[in-house]
Amino acid sequence: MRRSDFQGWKKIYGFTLRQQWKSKTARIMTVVFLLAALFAPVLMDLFSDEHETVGSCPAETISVAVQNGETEDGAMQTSLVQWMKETEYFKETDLVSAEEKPQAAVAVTVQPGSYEIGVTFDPECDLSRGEAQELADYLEQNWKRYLVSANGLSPDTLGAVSQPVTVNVEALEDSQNEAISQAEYWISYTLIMVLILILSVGGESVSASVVMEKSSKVVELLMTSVKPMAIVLGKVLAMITYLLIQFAVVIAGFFVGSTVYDSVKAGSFQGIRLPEVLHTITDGALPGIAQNWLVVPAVIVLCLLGILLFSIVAALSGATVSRIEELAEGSKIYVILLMICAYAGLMLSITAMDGISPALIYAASLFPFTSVFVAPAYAFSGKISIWIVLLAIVLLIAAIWLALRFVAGVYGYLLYYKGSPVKFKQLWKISGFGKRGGGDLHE
Amino acid sequence: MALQVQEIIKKYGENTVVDRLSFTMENPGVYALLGRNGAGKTTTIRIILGMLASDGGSVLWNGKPLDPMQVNVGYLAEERGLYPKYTLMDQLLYFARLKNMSAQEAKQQIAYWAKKLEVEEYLYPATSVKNSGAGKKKKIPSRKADELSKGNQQKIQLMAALISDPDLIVMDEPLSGLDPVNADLFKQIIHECIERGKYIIMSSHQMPTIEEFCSDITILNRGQAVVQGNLNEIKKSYGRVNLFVKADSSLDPYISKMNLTVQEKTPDGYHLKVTGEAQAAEFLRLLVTEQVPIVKYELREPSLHEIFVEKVGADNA
Repeated sequence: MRRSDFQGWKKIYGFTLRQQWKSKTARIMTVVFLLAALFAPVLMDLFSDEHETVGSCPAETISVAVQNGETEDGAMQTSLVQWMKETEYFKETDLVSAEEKPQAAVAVTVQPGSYEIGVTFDPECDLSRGEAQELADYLEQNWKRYLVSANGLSPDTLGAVSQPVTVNVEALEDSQNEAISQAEYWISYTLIMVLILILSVGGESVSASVVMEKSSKVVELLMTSVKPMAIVLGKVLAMITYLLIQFAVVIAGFFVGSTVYDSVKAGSFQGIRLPEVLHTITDGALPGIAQNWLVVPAVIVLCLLGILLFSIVAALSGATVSRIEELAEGSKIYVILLMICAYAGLMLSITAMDGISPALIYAASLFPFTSVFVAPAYAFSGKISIWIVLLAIVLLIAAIWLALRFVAGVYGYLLYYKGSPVKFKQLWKISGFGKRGGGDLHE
Repeated sequence: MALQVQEIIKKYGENTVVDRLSFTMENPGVYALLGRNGAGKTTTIRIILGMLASDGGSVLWNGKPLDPMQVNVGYLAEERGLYPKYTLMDQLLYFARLKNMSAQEAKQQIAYWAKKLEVEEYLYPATSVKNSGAGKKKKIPSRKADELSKGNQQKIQLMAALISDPDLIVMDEPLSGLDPVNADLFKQIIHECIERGKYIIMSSHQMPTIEEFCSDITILNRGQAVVQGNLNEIKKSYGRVNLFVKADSSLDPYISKMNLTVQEKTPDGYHLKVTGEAQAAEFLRLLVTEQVPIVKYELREPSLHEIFVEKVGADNA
């Protein structure tokens, strides 16, 4: 491989990136993603289980009756009325007797082991079925609060008894090393899902970009100025840059949205907030980072190189076909490889983190196609050292070099090929790694 | 400068598509590659430009292997292509930048060729300002390739090939698909390139065009050179064997008497095949002796078209 093989890649990179941003579709998509990210915290909060019903009772007048078996339960009726009077939701509602024809009548029946709440409404008194349902829902959701209050306990007691309980079963030996904290789990899970998202969307963009020159027949003109290596490298890097910028815009949008929404809700927003994420990373919740903070930049480099390696494989899809319409067929190898490696990453780094043999962990953390999915989780949890991450980076660089040569060889060889999809064993032959041949593949 | 193509071979499996082809261009001018479809012209061009690996032989420019990265080469490919959704100006600047031209240099060249090829209106928004109503002017961006007609796209592709002022220009079927007006425009550009001392390799099916421009030719048949050399010398080697005679009366009895071959009889006259100038002169003497009223008498060398059909057509029959 000579220096001239790379000549012009920067110009191809610059042109591809500029044209990508100039495309109306790309700009619209970026704005849509940004808006979605900005408003995501609001949506998350709306659909959150912890979301409390706010507002006021739609009925202006309510009567309350409590029946326990065959008899009226006056004491409970009094305590329920008292609780409703003290509750913000009912502050604009008058609690009246049934004879005064209220808009809604609440009838509670105490049964062995359960309560039944009935809401009867009078449509002629300006109360709709939906509003009556809203009142019933409020009572259902806050019934425990009433019971706590009726039994002389503070509202904090309800919070205390409602807190989630998590259990850990640990062996006595080496428990320190094998336990996976919630922070490790979420960081690893998020990282893998983000990688899968970027590589799924990015793979298609990269292969479409690589086939564009062949599809539009510009490639022959380009080939008088640059070589296949420069075309493949320039286009792959441009598309990765574009995707990462778009991803950064989405992440920034999300954190800006969550910060603004949190300030609007006076700090009661329950979703993901940037300070909490940074705090989780820096406060020692991730043992690997606590041991050596250089793990963070090393993992970032590893992830970027992993994205580059998979993007080069995606470029192979573009190199083996001559038209954009044929990409689905050509992308099979990429999709299968991505699925296998991503599943392996998920299995090894999250679902089965406890009790995996160290040899398997090291192998998966070093193998170039799985390292990007596996090594970050184990590096953050301190189960592999930074030296393993650095070695994984070196192996990734070597794999990228070989993959680039392979794809550029295939691209150059199949420049004029317009036949049926090329099989993998043919690719090996024509890439220049095996004996050069396969002349029938031309035209 | 000189271009030497030495013994190049290209095989696809058992099929040899270029078989030990050699030719040399020692002086600027136009070298023609002729042949039927599939004869190996485009494959030869792609090998010359390094886009296709050959199975033998070499291509030298000034005695060194031709590397398009090092030599300024312009190429108008048979399969014309432009990015359909990118603006023309962006594309031309990109192609120029890939040839290591500065932005300013590129813009000057684009302006020059845009004027020559009459495509300025598609490239320069400043000259294409339209009134969008209410006294406001809307700026129109440089057009995109898919908004242009095929002929105009071809002009942009020619601009892309010539923008870097290349030393070696390769044109694969440059006039195909053009209307007569645009074909004349392209011919003017080719003449200008010849005057500027460029080395041009041209492949074409249009024999009159080849005769107009080319000094040297190679006729390919199944990958092999069947005729090669200077066009005038090739024609001379055939001798003046084509005789055209137009007369006011029938020539049939005299043609029979001399046992001549009639290639074509048209209302305009007789196209005859003679063995040489002596037989033609004898036929003329006969007509004069018999007092036949001759309107036109022309003895000429075979046309390139005739040579091509004879060499390639017969072999493929």
